[in-house]
Amino acid sequence: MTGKGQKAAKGFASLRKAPEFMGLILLLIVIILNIITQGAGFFSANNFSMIFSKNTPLILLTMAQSIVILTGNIDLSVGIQMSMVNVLAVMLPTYTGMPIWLAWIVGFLAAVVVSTLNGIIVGYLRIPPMLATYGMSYIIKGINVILMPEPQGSVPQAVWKFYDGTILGLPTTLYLLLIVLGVWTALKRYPAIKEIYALGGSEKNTYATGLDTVKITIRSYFICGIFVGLAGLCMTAMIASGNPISGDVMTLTSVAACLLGGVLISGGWGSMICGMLGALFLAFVTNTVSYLFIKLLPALIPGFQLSNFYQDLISEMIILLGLTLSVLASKKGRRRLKKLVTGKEEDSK
Amino acid sequence: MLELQNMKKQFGAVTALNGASMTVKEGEIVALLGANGSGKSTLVKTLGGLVRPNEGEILIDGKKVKIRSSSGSCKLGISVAYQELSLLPRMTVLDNIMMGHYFKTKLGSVDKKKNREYAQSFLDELKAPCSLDDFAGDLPPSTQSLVEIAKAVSWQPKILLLDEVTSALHYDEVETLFTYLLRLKETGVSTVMVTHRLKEIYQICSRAVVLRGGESVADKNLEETPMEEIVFHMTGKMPEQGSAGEPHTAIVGGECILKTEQLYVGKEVRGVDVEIGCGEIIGIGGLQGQGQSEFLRALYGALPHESGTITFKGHPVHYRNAADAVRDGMGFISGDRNREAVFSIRPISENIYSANLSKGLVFGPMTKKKINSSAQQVVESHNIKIGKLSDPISSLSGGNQQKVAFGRWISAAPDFLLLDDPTKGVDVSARRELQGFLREAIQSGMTVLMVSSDNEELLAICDRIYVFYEGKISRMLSGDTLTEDHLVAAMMGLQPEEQEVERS
Amino acid sequence: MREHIKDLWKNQAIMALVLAVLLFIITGVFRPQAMNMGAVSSIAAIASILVFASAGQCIIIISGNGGIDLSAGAVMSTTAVISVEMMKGDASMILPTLIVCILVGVVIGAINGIGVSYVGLPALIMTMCVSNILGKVQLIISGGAPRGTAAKEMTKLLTTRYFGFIPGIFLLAICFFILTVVLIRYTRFGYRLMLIGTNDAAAYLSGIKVKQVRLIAYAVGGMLAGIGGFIAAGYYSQAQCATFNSYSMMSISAVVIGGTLLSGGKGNFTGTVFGALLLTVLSNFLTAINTSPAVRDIIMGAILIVLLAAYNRKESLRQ
Repeated sequence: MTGKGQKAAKGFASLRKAPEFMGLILLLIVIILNIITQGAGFFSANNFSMIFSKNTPLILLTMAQSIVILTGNIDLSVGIQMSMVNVLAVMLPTYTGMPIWLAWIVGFLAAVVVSTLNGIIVGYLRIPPMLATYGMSYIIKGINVILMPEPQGSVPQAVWKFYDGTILGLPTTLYLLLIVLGVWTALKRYPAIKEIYALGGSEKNTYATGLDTVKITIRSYFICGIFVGLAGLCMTAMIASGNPISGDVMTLTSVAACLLGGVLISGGWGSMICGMLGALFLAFVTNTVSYLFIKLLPALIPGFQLSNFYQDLISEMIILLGLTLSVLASKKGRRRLKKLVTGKEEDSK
Repeated sequence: MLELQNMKKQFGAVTALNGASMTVKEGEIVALLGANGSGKSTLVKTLGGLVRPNEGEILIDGKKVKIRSSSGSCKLGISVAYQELSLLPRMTVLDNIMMGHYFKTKLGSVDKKKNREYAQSFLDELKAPCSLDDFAGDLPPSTQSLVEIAKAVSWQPKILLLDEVTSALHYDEVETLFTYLLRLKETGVSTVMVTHRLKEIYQICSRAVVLRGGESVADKNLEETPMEEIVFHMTGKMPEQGSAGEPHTAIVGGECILKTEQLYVGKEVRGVDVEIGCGEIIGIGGLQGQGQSEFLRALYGALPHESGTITFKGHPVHYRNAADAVRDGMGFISGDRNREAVFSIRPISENIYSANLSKGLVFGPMTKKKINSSAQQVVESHNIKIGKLSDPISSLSGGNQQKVAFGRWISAAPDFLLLDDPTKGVDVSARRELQGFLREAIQSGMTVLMVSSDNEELLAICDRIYVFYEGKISRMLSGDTLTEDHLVAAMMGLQPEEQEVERS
Repeated sequence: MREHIKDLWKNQAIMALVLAVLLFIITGVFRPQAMNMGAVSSIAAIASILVFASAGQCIIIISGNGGIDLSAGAVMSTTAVISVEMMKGDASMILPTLIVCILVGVVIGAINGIGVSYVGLPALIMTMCVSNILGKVQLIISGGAPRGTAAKEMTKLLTTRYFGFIPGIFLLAICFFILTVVLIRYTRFGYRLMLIGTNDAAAYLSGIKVKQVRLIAYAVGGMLAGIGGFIAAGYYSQAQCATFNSYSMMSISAVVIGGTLLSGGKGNFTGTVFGALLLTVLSNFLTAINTSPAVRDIIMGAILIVLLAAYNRKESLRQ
């Protein structure tokens, strides 16, 4: 093999080992499917920008969830926190007369505070994260509804136009995601992040190594809060109004997206990029299915009229299929990886 | 210079430490010895910050200190290599070693080059056969132990604790380690070595502290103290003459109960033929990782085998899971107690009855009474010390837990019992008791196949020994060849002719 | 005496019961008119529905390996929708509908079980996906709005207050209770369940068919939830899509509050029933003192966290 060839092979081998690999494969498959069904229309600026602006809240939310799952925990309140940011951004100017930009900052900080509180409850009080954050989600839901009993409010036109618009032909939201991606890539080299992986790998062993597991847990929820805050601001811009509970359904979607992207549910394996890939996978699946049902099949089959319900059902089933493939592939992949290193098979059960 | 005074610790009703004391001077290597349940692990964990003592003083360099957490322990200059390993399986060797004390760049991020050089230096010192980029979970147990040690010493501690680190190491790796430890000694590091391998301590330790029942019962200078005396302090009884336990008269087995022909299991077992007769105790020896464990598990249906045949009780068998093997009359005891043998939160009674529970219709009736009465029989007839049958098994000491695991298969009474290094990490007296169990089992008609890393044990109780080397049987020892030097030679893969040459 | 009280305090299941009773009395203090037999009956009836959802949940959580059922509520909603659409008020359809509901429950449970046990998907994710899929299935079956009602005779049986205060549905809850306790404590299945929930590997090496037992656990769980939906549809006489979805998380709360370990291997259905009772009394209390739904949510969330902090904290890392 030539030097270049060797380098490429080595690069591919290390990509294969990376947790992002499965997520990347799934995403490529669904993008190809999308291109097949949509044809050239897929590449239209309109379509692209719509996909990104509609899904950026979910992508950011999934990234928030991924950092928590990396530590072996979970946060079932991220969706409703997103709505909380939305509610505060929209209602605070009305209630207190504060300028809109300040309300947005307060909303963002509120998510950081609530998430950090979650971190303290889970890390310091050692309450199981699923139920603790589930309880917190009820508290936040109540607060949201008290502050905003019904969906209402508006967002300055300049803001949502900016959000939906493009800069130099590419969607604004894409730039945001690229910035966030850059931040993660830089952060990854810090011991603080490595400690998060350690905690997810084994809490007991991380403690035995002399690390402060409480601090690490709170840190992971803190970072989560930052991304939830961002997601909430994006959602506010996207829906250009206020809704006290609409974000809640996205919580479980964010968990599924993490897994689709290759984040291991028990922690210690994956990355925020995995979260991003998984969320993009979901975005493109919904896009494909809706295009299939609304434009393509009715055009091919005269009189094709399937209710929305079937469309949603198929989306959900594709997600389950994607998860199954992801799990099966990662099981095989890890077995193969283990074989490569030690020549040993995992015990079959 | 480390001093522990009058350490006391209770875990619920169990007294782990009852006034244990120990001193280690600068530049000294001290052995910490004791039977299972004597408190050694608790003492180590206390120094590591994983256990909070109820009473007692810890002095470092003459000053009283309080160890409030694992990070507190690190800050005091204490570093521990744990028996159960504190590695992170899905992180690289580099990250495992440097976690918590990375070299950082001016911006605070990890300084790749510096960390790699630093970590590699320790891998090189210990001659660990792995690269910095391997995932710790994919390494064989011996290499994992070396990484654990590398990790501990990389903190450049003043006080180094090694808890049973040699149990997984190969002979030459132990030699390299001891050379390194002696060098560390010169730099003034105080080292505490916890081990069951008494022969090792005479190689590098200057003193031995013996714990029994949570108390320090002896602190002896090893130059002046013979091993029998050490064993006496550990067990409270004089060791019996000769090798471990009563001499064993090998019996000639009855008709063949198990036979394998050219068995291939994954990459580890490359064509193994064995024949085992009814009522025999057959040993499987060899260095660690030569395929013994995989062979055993393939017989039990816990691992698939690619080719070859297994004939059990006259019929060819190919179990797809362990349940089928159990139904056919096999049993299995694993030496990895916590992971594979013990239901920690379940009561002792269920732990004993679990193999029986696996038989019968799923929705068939079962009552606590039935379980308890069966378990009670086993407990009484085999003298297993417990509180109540309903206590969780976690309330028992390690040795007693292993006895319960044995009790499980006495209760289930299989025809053929497989044991995978069952006495690993079990102390001398408990070992004798477990050997007694095995002999009783034979008398009641069972046949036993046992993998063991303890040569003395194999020679003491087995009728014949198959020695594994690189996935194949290097030699079958019986009768005249059932001796230590034959066994050791076979473990190294030396053929009989080569052994003769060696001898002459 | 002190020792006894200390032991009682530590017994999570009993404390749940005590708290439930206390809370009921406190409700009466705030709203004396709410302290009558009618109120007790209502609570018993509503709690019964939560018991139906929690029976399967308890079994699945005991099965360990991250066992949990986020689809319990969706299964109940689905069989409830199926029940009203099938029965359409006709008493002769009661038995066929019950059989269909049992089958649907078993099949969905088995699908969950296959995903968790054989494919290796985490239970949280598998059951969540199934829950989402069922949500759409319900919409498709009913076209968005289920028409039809449960058989009148059935509704009558369930809602009648026997002896003046025992609702029929409560009697069925007692049957559920007996059935579940027998399953857990008086069958081989129950003991195998506890063992696999504690230690997969040790159970496997003892000869237990771990994957099979786990699959059965999910199938049984699905079946119990399916029957629960059928009964609930009968009680309310009508059903909407996704009405019982919230019962997924509520049943998990009831199970955990009752003292079953979320990590599996140890479980107590009596505790679960008391937990269900506590949650129902709590919800009733909050309604009685006229709090808005939003405030109710805040308080329920806060109380859940407090209860968890009191009883369900994870083991300390430093012993």
